[in-house]
Amino acid sequence: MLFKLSFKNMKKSIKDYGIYFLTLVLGVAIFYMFNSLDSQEAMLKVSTSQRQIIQLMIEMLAYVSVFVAVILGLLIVYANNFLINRRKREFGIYMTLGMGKRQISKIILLETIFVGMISLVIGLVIGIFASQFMSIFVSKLFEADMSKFEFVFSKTACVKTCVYFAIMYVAVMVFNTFTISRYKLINLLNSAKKNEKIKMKNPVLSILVFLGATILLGFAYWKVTIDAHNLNSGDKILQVILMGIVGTVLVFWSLSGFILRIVQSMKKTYLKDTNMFVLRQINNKINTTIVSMSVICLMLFMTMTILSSSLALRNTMQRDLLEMTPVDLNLYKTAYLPEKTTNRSGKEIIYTEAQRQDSRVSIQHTLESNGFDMNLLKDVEEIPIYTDKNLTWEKFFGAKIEKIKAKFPYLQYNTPEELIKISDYNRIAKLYGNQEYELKENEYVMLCDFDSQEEIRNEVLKDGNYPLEIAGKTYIAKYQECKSGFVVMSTSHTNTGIILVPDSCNLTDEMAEMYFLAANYNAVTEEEKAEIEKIFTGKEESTILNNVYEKGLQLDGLSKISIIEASVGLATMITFIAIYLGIIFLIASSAILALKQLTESSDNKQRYTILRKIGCDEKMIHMALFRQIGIFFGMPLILATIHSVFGIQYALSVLSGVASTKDLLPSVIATVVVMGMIYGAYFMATYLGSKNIIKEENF
Amino acid sequence: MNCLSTIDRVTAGHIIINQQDITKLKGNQLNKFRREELGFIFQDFNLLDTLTAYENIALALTIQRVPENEIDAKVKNVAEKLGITSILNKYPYQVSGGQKQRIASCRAIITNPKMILADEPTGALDSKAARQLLESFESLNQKLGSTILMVTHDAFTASYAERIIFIKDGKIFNELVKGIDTRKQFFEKIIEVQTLLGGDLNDVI
Repeated sequence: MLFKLSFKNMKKSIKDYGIYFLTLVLGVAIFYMFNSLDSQEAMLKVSTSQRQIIQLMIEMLAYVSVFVAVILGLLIVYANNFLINRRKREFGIYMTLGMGKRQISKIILLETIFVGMISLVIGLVIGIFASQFMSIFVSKLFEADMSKFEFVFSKTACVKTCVYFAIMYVAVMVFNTFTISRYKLINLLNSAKKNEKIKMKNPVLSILVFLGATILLGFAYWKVTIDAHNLNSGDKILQVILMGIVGTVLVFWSLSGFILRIVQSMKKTYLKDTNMFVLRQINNKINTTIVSMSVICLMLFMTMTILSSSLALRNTMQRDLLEMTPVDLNLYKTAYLPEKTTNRSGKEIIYTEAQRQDSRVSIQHTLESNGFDMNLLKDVEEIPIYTDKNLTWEKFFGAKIEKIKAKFPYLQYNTPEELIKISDYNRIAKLYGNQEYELKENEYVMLCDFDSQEEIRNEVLKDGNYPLEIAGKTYIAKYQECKSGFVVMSTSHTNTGIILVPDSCNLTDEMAEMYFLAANYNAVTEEEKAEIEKIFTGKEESTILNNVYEKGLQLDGLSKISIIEASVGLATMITFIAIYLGIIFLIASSAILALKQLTESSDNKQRYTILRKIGCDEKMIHMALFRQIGIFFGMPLILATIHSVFGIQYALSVLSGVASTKDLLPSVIATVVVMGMIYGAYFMATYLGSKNIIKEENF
Repeated sequence: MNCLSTIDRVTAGHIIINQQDITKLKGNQLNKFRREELGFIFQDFNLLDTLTAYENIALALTIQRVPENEIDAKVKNVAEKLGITSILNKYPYQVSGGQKQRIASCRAIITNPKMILADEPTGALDSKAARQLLESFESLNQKLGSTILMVTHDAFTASYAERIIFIKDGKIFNELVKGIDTRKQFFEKIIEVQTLLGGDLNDVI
């Protein structure tokens, strides 16, 4: 009997369940999709040389999934709570018929299980199919090899999804039982009649609060943009976040009263069509929705900021990549090894004679003598990089060292500065296509493109003619700032400092810290290049690597291919987690808004009936409804957009050097498209649902 | 009443108001007719609780797209006639039942309808408020010349009318016209008819 009742109930209230159901299905599908990544063929294909990053990504996704599960759990409890409230009267009738609270709980329990099971199954099916498309999307997006397509089913993801959602449903059940146990029959039966007391706010107070909130937000915006460099400690950031939250809540507290006041004074707009009614509706309802509006706004804000800045980060990384990897291969080898040395942890290292011998010859020599055919390389340039024991970072900063140490206490100030002769550098720069420099006999140039390092170095250089003692002679800086440039390739701008000195500088062979070699593979096609690459990366078949390894030679290197692969992996990871979180936040906020509006529409049914009775035609009524819901969806979106404009700027300034504003536009467009689709879908679903609710049968 | 007010449709027959057969109107034509030719007063007021009295009245005009510079004068004018000028800025929940019904009446008449349909307008009012309202109706009828069609079970309320049609079980039972009678005489006539209306002999066993 109870079974039948709950089944019938569900069928009856299918319209109410619509959005709840949609949210559950979407939640399950997305949860599955992102957790099934580990078993996707396409992902494994990319990863021959970067399994570690993929592994890291899967681990991170697992942690993020716990967070996501908490959000979804809260969302489901919330949505469910709305449904229960809608049916208070029904429960009241059951109770007058003599049904106990336990039995009512049981009905709801059965319903939760029904809906849960169905949505889980449908969600999983959608998730499984969608994840196939996602593998294609992923491989396209991240230049992965997608040579063969296979239908992937991840058992672990499936089980994980089921377990997580089962836990959420149990939470919902516990919550429901608790809610039901608190109900009193009289309240249940009268719930429909209970009229919401209309609280009207003092309009003057509204305006004052609104202005206050605007100032507060403006101050927070100023803090994160113009004043961002002062935002360097956790509690300062927390302050700004708190300001943002309080400002947002206050804006929603006062906004409707403020707007109402403004529009009321514009008689022409106020006294037109149903404007008056719509405004009053909003003013009436927003009082009860301040908290949820604020939460929705902040969630939208997070979605926008996370999506935009992570996509920008990814784009920057990929663009930087091309700029930062001008040649196929970089090799470097420590020069002039001493007999013994102590490493950082204080352990003594003794170098063999063979190692020391090798450290006195060029990289080319090492390669050839270990069986490498130099004809496989072209455009070979090899240079020594020197250091002067007396010239460390500490020395470079000179008098300003204390100030800089206070600001950046964790830098290794005893690191020696790297020195390169100008003609050597120019050879490399020519090969890379970078700017070449000329120096007078007493000049030097500081090359540095790592943002924070560049900033503190400029601090010293800006005074002009900054003198530096190099190898016993004093030189002065040619420029009042760091110049950009690099020698060793990397994924982004990470050159912390190289000093270019005139060729005449007294740098002895013993001062050489390492040899550096840059070259291109002597090949045309990608396949040929990959073949040469194998000699440096493939562990088993490469004789040169085996030799270097056995003799313990200090030869190391980087290749364009490996840098790009690693970078693609990193970018993939960041983007994935961002998209995952972003979409979950988006679904959560849209669903909350939609549910709220739907419940309100049924409360408002009577008001719309009155409108109809006094002669509004359907078109006008639909227009009024559309505008009412539109404004409710629009308000948090607009405020969130304004927040994001500043939030993204701050996010980019934190990621400075890694993400750049140039890449913002496409990622903002992508974000807008994604948001428009999900948010818009919920908006339309809400509008249509509400229209259905206020429709009168005999009309 | 619902058929007359075009809220419901007739299954047979015709309703002719002002030489127009309203049973033949459809959809938005109906809405237009209702908006422009009829005014409604309901037992439970049907005021929008989110709007002030002023706005409730003005809404009837704004949905007819009356220019906004005419609205203010019209609302104040009609409010004065029904004596609710002082409560125009109050919300429905802040005023008494009688005042609410007068606000509703203002809303009904502000559009100068051909006919005002009043469905048990005094049903939710106490006798004092009912009398005030009925007196306002009377003046509306006499001064503005609007036709008021009122449905009621109350003989006292009915005695304010000029012409009464008794309906029993869906059929017209009797008709009374006030003519030159005073209201007291008319009231007594109504009571007589009501006694007759009470039932056939067969009903009392």
